[in-house]
Amino acid sequence: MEIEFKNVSYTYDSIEKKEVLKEITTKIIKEKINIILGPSGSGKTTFIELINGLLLPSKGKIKVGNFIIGDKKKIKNIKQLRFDVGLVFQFPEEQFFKETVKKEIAFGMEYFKYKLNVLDKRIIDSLKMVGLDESYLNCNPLELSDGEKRKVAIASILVFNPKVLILDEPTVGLDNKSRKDLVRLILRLKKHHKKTVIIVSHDLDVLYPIGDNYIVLSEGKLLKNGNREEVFKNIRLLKKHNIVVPKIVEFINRVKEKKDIKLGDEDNTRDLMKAIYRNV
Amino acid sequence: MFKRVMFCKYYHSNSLLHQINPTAKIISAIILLISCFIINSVWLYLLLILFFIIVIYVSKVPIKMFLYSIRNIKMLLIFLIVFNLLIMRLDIINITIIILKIISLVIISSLLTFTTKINSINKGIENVLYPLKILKLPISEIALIISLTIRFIPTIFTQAEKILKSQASRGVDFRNDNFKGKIIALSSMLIPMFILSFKRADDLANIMEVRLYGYTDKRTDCDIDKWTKNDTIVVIVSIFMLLLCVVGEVI
Repeated sequence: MEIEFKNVSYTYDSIEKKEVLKEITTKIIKEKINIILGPSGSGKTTFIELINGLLLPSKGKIKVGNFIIGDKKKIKNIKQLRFDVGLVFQFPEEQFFKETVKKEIAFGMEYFKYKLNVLDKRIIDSLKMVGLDESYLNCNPLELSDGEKRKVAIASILVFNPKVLILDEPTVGLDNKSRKDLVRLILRLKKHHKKTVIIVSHDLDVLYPIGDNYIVLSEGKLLKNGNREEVFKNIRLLKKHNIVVPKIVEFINRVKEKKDIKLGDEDNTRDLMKAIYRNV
Repeated sequence: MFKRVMFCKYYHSNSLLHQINPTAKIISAIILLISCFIINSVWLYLLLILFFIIVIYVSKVPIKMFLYSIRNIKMLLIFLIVFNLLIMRLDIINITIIILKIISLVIISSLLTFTTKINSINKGIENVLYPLKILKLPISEIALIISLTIRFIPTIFTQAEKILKSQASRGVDFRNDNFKGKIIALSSMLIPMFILSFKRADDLANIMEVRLYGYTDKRTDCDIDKWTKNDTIVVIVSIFMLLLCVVGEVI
């Protein structure tokens, strides 16, 4: 599903009239992992809520597949848009509203009038996809651990089988194992299910190796857009805009600066160690 | 959706009204509320509203915020008009007076909350209730409960917005949906709202406990609001407005 921003601006409809996004023109790469970066308050969450049609741009247009999201008050066939673009919010525990995991996951599907026998299988499949089993079906989602809550939130979106999956700060509050599980799930969704994944995160140490396209926002403007090499070429610029740089990129840069060693753009520790061993 | 809910929001400014002692503001607000409820003449209400416009100008708070506050209760106003017109069979003048009473009440409470920080309101309530200490009532606790209740209202709206957005991303669109969709969204929002509110209250109680709230004999204040000449003037102006309303009503 193609997603394209054309001169998109967004101003909050409040007293202050704060412009949080300023003339953004960019593309989300289809069937790849797109990572949105930026310091707090740079407009990342607004950016993803615009894709889902939760917010409407003040200026410009967003093309999401066949949908055009403009400044008109209503989007035609918005339910289909929400069906195709799944959005998992930050802090899922604040967004659960059903008494069991099963009902929570089924909520959207029931709203779309899915047949129950089909629905049950889909709920179990989506739970298994995130690494939870059937024993969770009758649990209260508010009583689960933070990692399990995040998984249920993702399952409640995966049950739609959306073409685009958006995750807002998915690694916050997760332990190391849950983070690794999440990374594996994201890679599986991209490779085997051909999903377009959009992730908003500060936790680049975990997500840096898997990103295909990076969109860097700062103060509502597009600072950089491109692949790993293009975006992390100039880490001084990123640091100047308070953007967290992965430790591995920082380490490579320090080695390059101090020892004048020729290195490639290794994205995992093992390759980096090999390169250092080769050169030193 | 709730961006325009102005209830209990503070507006940053350094206006004269922002600098007034919270106790003086609460006393003035009570006096003005009494003034609103004793008058029954449209002309006196117009005079009172003119006074409010001057105070709003002095407070440097955008007039839009007050208009949004009034808009927040539009359903209540419509209900009152329909109820009094069709069931109580009141005439237009009496209905106008009822509506003006409600609007004045909203403006006075908004003036207080837009220009006073929540901690100052707490201190102000404590000072106003101070005479009740003779009856050995826990004044500090009552003041804290009132100010915490006020402080939590915007948080609850933010919470409601998050749940509505979560529902919208799964097909229920509160903004664009029909009446049935809106009812589903609202009904499924109530239970989690209660649960999360209790959870927040529990967290807050724990936070207060770890900061040793209630373990010391006497709590002292970080900021001491001194009573100034301006505070006395504000209270006198309010009393003057009350007298004007009483005299106007008698004549």
